[in-house]
Amino acid sequence: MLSRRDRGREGRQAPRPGLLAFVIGGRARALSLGLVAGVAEIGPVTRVPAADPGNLGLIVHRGAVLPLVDLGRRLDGGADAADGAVAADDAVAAVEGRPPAFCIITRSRQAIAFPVEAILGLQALPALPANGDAAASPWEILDPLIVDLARDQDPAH
Amino acid sequence: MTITVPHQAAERYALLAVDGVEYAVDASWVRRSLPAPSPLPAAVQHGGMAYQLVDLRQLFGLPAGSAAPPRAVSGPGPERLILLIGQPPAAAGAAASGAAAPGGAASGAVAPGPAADGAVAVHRLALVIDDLLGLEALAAGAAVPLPGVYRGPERRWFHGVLPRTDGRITVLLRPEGLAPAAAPPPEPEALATAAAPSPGGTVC
Repeated sequence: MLSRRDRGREGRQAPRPGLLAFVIGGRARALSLGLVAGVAEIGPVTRVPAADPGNLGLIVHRGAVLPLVDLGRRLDGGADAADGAVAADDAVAAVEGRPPAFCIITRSRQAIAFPVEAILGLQALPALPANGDAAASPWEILDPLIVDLARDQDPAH
Repeated sequence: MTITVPHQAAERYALLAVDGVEYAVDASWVRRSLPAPSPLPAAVQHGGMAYQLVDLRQLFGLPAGSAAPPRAVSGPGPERLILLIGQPPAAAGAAASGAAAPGGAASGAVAPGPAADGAVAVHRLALVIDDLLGLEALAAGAAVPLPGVYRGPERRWFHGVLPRTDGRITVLLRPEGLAPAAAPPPEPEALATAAAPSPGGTVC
């Protein structure tokens, strides 16, 4: 029987899922699991008038009111992907043109939800090169964007 | 051991619809409703008072025509309505004394009548709406402020939002913020900041 320390060593040897990968704007993106509170079907959306067209409306998730934010618009203005975006693979191509049915809910003091075109699943953290070049990742990792969004909507900020 | 649930006083609100979204305005502000004439005038006279016209579709940047389905197939046609609202005397008096209630509106029903003209601005508006849905007692204390990502003029228009038991969301109008030259809401936000939601969910 393995001790707790041994099990930890075992766990470090095998790649552990650290990211949730999904499709936004026809591109593969990912978010660290530590920033993900859950995935939910998009139910009724209350379209609250807003100056920022990136605010799609409000949803109720488990009794809490959450803003539904169009991350695709914030990422690349709804146009073609920005530099460094990941080329579409078969899974991405299969969902292009479909309206988002799911949203990802962030784990933060002021949670937000953002629609995704598809969930690609849990992925292991990519092994980055020694220089830490994130562009080598097979997905565009959205952690900085989510952290900024959460900070922006924190009333204490 | 007994757990006492705090009583949330229900206040009466007039419910209205604009572009398929349900809004609520404190019933103590409501004077009357009437069919919207075409073309729309700049102001509506009622009871010797002028009510400044505010087309909520125009204010909210919505298209003039409704893309939302009508509330009831057998309901009223495409005609829109005007809802006359005026600051209740109690709220105007409280504002004048610098002790306005949170949200700026007094609790409870106030008999309709001419709004008090005093040293403070008195808000009298003729809101152009799509439909009037009824009068309902709402637990406004359960309302939550707009999420922080809403940073534009909408913070002036709305007190907050109220999640309903059936899953829909009612948007609470801030009448004093709907006039074209309305002042921003007082800080801190009129509604108490709700505890941060702790959404759950299952990660796929």
